[in-house]
Amino acid sequence: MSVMRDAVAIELKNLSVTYRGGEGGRTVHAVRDCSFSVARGDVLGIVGESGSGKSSVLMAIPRLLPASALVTGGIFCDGTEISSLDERGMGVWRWRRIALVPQSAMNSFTPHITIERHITEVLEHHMRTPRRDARERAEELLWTVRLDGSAGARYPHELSGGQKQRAALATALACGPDFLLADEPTTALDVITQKEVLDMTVSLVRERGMGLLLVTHDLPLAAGICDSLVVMREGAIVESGPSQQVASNPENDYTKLLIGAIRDMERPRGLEETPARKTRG
Amino acid sequence: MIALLKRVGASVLVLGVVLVLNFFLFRIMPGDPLTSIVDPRFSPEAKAQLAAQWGLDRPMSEQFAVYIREMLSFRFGLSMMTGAPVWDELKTRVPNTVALLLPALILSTALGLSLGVKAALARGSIVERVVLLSGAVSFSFPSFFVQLILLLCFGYVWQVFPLRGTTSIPPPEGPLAILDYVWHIAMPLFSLVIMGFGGLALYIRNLMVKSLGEDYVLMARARGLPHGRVVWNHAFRSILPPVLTIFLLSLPGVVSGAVITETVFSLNGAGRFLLEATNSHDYPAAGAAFFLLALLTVVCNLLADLCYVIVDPRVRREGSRG
Repeated sequence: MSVMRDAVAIELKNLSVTYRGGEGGRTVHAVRDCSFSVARGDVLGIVGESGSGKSSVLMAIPRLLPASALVTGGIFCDGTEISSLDERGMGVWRWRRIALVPQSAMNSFTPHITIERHITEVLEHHMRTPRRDARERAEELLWTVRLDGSAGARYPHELSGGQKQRAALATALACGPDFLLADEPTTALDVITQKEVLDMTVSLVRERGMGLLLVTHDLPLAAGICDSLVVMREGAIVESGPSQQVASNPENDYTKLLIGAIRDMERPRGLEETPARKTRG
Repeated sequence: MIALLKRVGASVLVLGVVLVLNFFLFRIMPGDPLTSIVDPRFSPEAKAQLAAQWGLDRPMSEQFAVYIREMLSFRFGLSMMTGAPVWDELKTRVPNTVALLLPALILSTALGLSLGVKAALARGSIVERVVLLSGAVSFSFPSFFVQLILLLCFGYVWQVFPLRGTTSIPPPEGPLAILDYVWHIAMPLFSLVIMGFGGLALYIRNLMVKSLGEDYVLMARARGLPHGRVVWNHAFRSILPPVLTIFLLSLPGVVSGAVITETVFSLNGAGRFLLEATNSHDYPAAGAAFFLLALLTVVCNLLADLCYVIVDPRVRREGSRG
C-alpha cells in the first residue's frame, strides 16, 4: 500500500452551518464550530447518527449546501480559502481538485445522459480532453471500477444500484482529483455490494494517493477503513483521533453509546448475553 | 416501429370518425343553407334549383359519398356562400392566418420559456413574483376581452393601430404594402403573444423548480460544469419531453383560437372563414375547415408521440428493444 503524503490538505476552521427557515420557520444550527483537516493520502471518517451534521460538513466543502444555509468559518484547500470564492471561482475546484461520490448514486446521474457522457463531459470541460480521447479514458475508468465497456453506453436507469455506485466512483476519478468526498456512498446497497464498493473506493484512493473524507453512520465500518475518525453529535465534534484509538478506547460517552448501539444491532435476536456468558467474558 | 404503426392506425381511425361526424353534425344543426344563405325573397323554384346545384336534393347516402370523395381528395367542393372552390377560398385566407399565428407562436413560446426558466432560477425573488403574476393574468383572461380592450385603447382612443382588416383602403404599393400589413397585424399578434406566454411560463417554471431540485442537477454543479450547461443540458433537457408534448398539443387550440382573433380584428383569415361557414350552414366550407382542424390535431398528437421518442433517449431505447 503506497501512501503519498504531502502538504495539500483540506482544512476546516471553526466551520458552522445554520439553516434558516427550517421546520416552522425556525433556525437550525446543523454544524457548530467544527475544525479538522485531512491531507492527501489520508482517509478520514466522519461518523455520527442521522442529523448530527456530518453531511452538512461534507457538502459545505464544495459549497453545495442549499441557499438557506448560512456558512461561517473558513474552508481551506491547498492554502486557498475556498469558502470565500464565488460560484464561478468554485468551478475550478469542483471535480478537478475535489470530487464527490454522492449518498445515492441512484439519482445522481442525469437520466437522459449516458454514463460515458457523464465522464466525457467533465473531461472535456476540466481537462480540455478531445471527445475521442475522452471516450477512451471513460472506458478505461469504467474498467478500473470493474464495469465492462458496454456500461458506458447505458443510461443510468439501465444499471443496478451497485453498478451505478461504481460508475459514480469512475466519474469522480475522471479528473484525478486530490480529494474524494464520499457521503454514505453505500447506504442504498446490499451488504455484499457495500463491502465491495467501499473496498474498491479505499483501495483506489490509496493507490492514487488521494485524500478521502468518508461520511458514515457506521462507526465500526469507518474504523476498519479510515486512518482517523471524527465523531459528531448535534453539529459538534465530540471526539476525534486515530481510528483504532477512537473505536477501541473511546473517551466520549456518546462515542461509547454509538459503538454499543451498533454492537447491539449486530447481535442476533434471542442471543442476548446471559449472566453466565457475561461471567465467562 | 410496431408501436408507431399502431399510433398511425389509431390516428387514421380518429380522422375517419371525425369525417363521419363532420358530415352529420352540420346537417342535424338547426337551419339549413337555403334559409341562411339564400335571399328569402327567392322563388321556391329558384331555391329548388340552388338546392339541386348544391346536391341537397340527392339522397343522404349519395351526398355522403360525394362528401367523402371531396374531403379525401382535398378539393372540398364548392363553397355555398361564394360559389368558388373551398380550397381556393382557403388558399387566399390561410397565408393571413399563418402570418399571424406563426410569429405569435414563436414569440409567445420564446417568452414563456425564457421567463419560466428565469423564474425557476430566481426563486423567492421579485422576478419570480412578477412572472407568476403576469403568467396567471395572461393565462386567466379570455382572449376576446383583452383584444377588445386593446382595440379600445390603441385603435380607438389613441389610434396607434388600425381598428380592422389586414390592409389599408386603398392598399399602398411597393415596400409600403409590407409595412402596412405588419402595422395591421401588429396588434392582433401582440394580443396573441401576451395571451399565449403565460400558461407555458407557469408550466415551465413549475417543471424547472422540480428539476433544479433533483440530485442529478446538484451533482452536475458538483462536477464544476458551467451554470448554463447545468441549467440547459441537465435541468431543462430533462423536462423537454413534457414541454414539447404540451406545446404540440396546444397547437390545434391556437389555430382554432384564430377564429376569435380574426373575428375581433376583422382579419380575412381561415378562422373567420370557418365561423362564417358554420353560421351560414355552408356544408362544404365548414366541413373542410373542421376536417383540417381535426387533421392538424391528429398530426400534432402523432408528432408529440414521435418527438417524445426523439428527445427522451430512454423511451427510444425501450422502444428499440420492444
